[in-house]
Amino acid sequence: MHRFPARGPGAIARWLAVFLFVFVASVPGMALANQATSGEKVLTGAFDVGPGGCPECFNPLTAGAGFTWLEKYFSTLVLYDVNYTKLQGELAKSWDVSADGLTYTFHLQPDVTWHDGQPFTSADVKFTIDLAKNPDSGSWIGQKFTGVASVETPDDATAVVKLSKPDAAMLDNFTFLVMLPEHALKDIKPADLVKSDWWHTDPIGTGPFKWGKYVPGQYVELDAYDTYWRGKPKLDKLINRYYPEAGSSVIALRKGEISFTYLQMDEANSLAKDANLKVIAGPSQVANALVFNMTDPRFKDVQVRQAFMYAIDRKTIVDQLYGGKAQLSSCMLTNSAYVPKDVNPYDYNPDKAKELLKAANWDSIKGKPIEVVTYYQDQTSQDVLVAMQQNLQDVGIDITIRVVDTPTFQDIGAKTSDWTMMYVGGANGPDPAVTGPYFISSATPPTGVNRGHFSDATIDKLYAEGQTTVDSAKRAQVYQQACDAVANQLPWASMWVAERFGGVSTKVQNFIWTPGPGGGRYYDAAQDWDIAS
Amino acid sequence: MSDAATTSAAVPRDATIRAARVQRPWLLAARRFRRNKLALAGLTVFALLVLLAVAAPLVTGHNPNQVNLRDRNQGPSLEHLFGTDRTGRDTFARTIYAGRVSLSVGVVAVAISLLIGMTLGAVAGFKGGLVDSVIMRSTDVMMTFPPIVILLTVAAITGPGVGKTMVLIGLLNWPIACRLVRARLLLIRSQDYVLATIALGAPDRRIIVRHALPNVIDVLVVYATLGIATAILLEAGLSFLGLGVQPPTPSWGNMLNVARNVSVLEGAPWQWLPPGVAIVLSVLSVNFIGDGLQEALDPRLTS
Amino acid sequence: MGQYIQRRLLMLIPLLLLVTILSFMLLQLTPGDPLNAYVPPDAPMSAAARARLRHQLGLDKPAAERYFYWLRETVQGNLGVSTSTFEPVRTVIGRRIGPTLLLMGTALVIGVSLGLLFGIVAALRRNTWLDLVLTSFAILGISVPVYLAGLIGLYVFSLRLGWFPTGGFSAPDNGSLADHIWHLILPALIIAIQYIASTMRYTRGAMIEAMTQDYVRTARAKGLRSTAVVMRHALKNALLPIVTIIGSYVPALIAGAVFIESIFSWPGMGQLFIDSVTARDYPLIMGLILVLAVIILLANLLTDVTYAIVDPRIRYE
Repeated sequence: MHRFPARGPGAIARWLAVFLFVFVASVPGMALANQATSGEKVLTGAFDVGPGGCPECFNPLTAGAGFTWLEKYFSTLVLYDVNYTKLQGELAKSWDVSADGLTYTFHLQPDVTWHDGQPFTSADVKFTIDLAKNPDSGSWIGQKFTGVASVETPDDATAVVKLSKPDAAMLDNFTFLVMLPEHALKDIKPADLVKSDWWHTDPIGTGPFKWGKYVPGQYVELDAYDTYWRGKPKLDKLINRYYPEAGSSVIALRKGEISFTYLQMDEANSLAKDANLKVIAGPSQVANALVFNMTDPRFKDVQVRQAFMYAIDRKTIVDQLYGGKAQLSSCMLTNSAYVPKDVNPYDYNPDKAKELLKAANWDSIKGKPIEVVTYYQDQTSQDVLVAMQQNLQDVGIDITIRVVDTPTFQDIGAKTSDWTMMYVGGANGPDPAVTGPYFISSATPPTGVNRGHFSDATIDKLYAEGQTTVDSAKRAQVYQQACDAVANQLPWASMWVAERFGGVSTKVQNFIWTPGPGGGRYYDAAQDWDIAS
Repeated sequence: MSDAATTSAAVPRDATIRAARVQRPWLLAARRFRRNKLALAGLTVFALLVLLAVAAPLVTGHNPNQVNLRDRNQGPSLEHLFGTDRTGRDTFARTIYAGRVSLSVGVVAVAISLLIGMTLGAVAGFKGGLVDSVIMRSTDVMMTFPPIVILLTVAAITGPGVGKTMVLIGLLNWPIACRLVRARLLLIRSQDYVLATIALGAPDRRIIVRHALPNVIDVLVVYATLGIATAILLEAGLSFLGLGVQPPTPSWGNMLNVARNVSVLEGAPWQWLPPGVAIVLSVLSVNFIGDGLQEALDPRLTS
Repeated sequence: MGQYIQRRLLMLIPLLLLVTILSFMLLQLTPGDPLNAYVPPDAPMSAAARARLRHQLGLDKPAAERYFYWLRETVQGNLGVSTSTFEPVRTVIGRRIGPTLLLMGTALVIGVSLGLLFGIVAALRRNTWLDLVLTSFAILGISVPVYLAGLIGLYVFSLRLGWFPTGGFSAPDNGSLADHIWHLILPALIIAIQYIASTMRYTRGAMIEAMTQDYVRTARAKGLRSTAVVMRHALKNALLPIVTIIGSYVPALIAGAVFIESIFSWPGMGQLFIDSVTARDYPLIMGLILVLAVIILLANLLTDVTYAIVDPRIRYE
């Protein structure tokens, strides 16, 4: 006979009661133990939550986003101002562009040192550009510098970048490229650099904060760099916590565990009432659009593409689903310098849509419902798609929605035969040239993202002209014409540019944040950020 | 090993089966079930949920997919019993239409896993030896893949959909049923009266039908009730990962997903509570039915 | 028994091999390219750079060759190199496995011990209000999706009541044991709810069944104290199905971990798995499947062995 230990349920219950008591009683004690006692000024935020973030992406050459954080310890030569409109110097104090647009001379900020104390010089600039251009570095940013013929360093404080052909977006390109230390990296082969753990063990940059501690999956801690060239930062520490579930970061913000995070629109609205928090809003610089696969005969007729624009009640969608916080666009661009005043606004007009469809003989060609593929998995985008579906159904266009993750989307997008329509977002600024690879015929995958194989000689010509026109007034005119052409031809049915939001504790002072595609690339004076005790 | 205990347990059971055959056991069971108030309540609620789902167009005049942006995020009213969702669709209509999807996912998935699990479990438990080994190792392989792994991968390949979700969940869950049946059969097989029956040369089919099945029904009933719950919950989990039923078709899982947004969680409970309560109610009622069935089918429990 | 365990352990090898081959094949069918983890969807990358990166990641080799390369690396204990972080997979998983096992283990212990206790109590006090309360709790516990429980739990206990932190393995710069425990309690309890509930149901059912067996009735009739009868006779027989159920918890625990680790920012393997799928980090996915497979297989083996110990009528020959 196998025996069980003769302990009755009574004993178990008693044991359990003791256990539970200890358990519950110890919680407040633990809570107290958790109180930070040091007098350091620490700002903790969720800087990589939301579409501009890239959690645990530490190689700035391969990171597709997350620049807000990367620029806390790395710096670029030039940056946008906080309004994300004008370029300003960062590590480059000033710059000259030759009349032919082929030579960029950067005059570097003196007294800049790397976090290990070594001086930052023009040699580092040359090293970084050459590294990015080298395909071995695995950098998608490198594509932006293929037009660089050479980098010369007449002295330590001057870097001369020579182009093989004018590229009016070159300065914008430099806002993507953080400077890297030649002395620390020159002995690592570019191919090995991609795999190097330098990026998350002891990277050194020229930013206001230096690398402190990395706890994988949880947070990165930066320490103030005392000899930062603009002066010692006011904060002692800056911590970036990771939240795989965005909603959890909002709870952490409301609870006061962190002082900053990205917010979705609904959350921004409800947090606006919270006296301890401030909501920051800014244009996402990302235009949403429906992309037509031009190899599908149904979209050959421009009247069909225009019908989509008239059928979708964009104004109501923006007013209701985005709380009015989005700007309509007919050509992907929204910067008034590049959008002609008389561009077709495509006001909601279902009757016109029906007329156009009738003229295009839609009923006989419409075939099966159109599947719209998107990588947007957030609630607002799904609401938007459902609203569009209803609008389109009202004029006789049936669509179905397929939400996939980004790698699947990229795969589908790479094969023209795998999709009919897409709902995407594309950066629309600050430089208008970024929209070129969406439509121009030379930019079909993999060199660009013209996945629909759209081709129009006028649009190709205008974007090429924009690329090489250096005079900014003339260049604006070229892009206005391009905008008009895109609005008429509709390679992409351009929708709107929505605002994005951040929430910050009112304890934080001098805090500057604005959304942008991939985050960062603007001057946020992080050395002045402070926190009230 | 206490032989006496085993034998004494076995004799009345065999006697019960013989007696029950005479008295039409299912009628007896039905009578016992009817005496169980909780089970009846469960049955009523579940029937109501099914009825609401089936007769959805008669219950509500609202089209569950009719978007009305100007009417969004409305609280409950006479016009909209459960208010409206983020695109102005009627939450009540969506909840009952969603029942069609969620309930059929639950039932069909369990039916699939029961069919496979029961068959393989019975064969494994009775045949033993190599067949048993092969079947048990395949349950090991199946149970080695965490369901989320396969679901994530397959949903990525084929794209999400209601039918696929059913089949997938069904195909993933059979090993549990299989192991349960086998475990019970191993126990039964080692009992003397069954050993005697086998020794007397009774055909396998007869042993399975006469002795094995009646003895595993209670385990399977518990499994099936929990299985329906699991399937409904798994569908909800898939929606959480963006791989569930695609918009605009409502399912309780994808409706519940809005609760991820903290402002909806606290500010618009009418959007996520109805599908949440529907999930809880359906699982609850199915469980009560399961308990009732278990007691009804196993008369030893009623004494 | 020793021989049996030895044989089962040996059988793990072909089983694991099968698991890796199956999952490798499954991954080959998955759309998406690890390279896409490096490129934003609206930005181009030159064909040359793509090709070079593909080569560096070893993706330009045929599938079979990649599998055997991976297998060789794995047999040597390296598990290959992650294509998203370029760290050895062993390192990446190594730092995540501890938190996951801690979370799952705590949840399992809480779930099973409370479940057993509640089940026994409910069975002994069958059809009383206590039984009803416990049974209702159990059914509510099974019927609430774990992620909803997580979201509500986080909202109520962390934000509203402020009892627990919002997530993470510990607060930054606080590695104290108390801090770790404080971070562990809420997510572990939320995962445990489900297991308290199902263990309780099975225990209650099995106990009731066992208590109506003749030999238990006989023992009671002989005047033995009823708790002693329960523990000595009823519980022993009731444990048999429960052992199977606990063994089957492990894969479900992993699923629970996937959701709860995300919601509570818990740096474990569940979260890592979602990340690795999103990045199409094949070596990491394979490594995770393998590690999870080993955990599950060992749990199964443990179940079968416990099974034989608990009930000597089960003969493994």
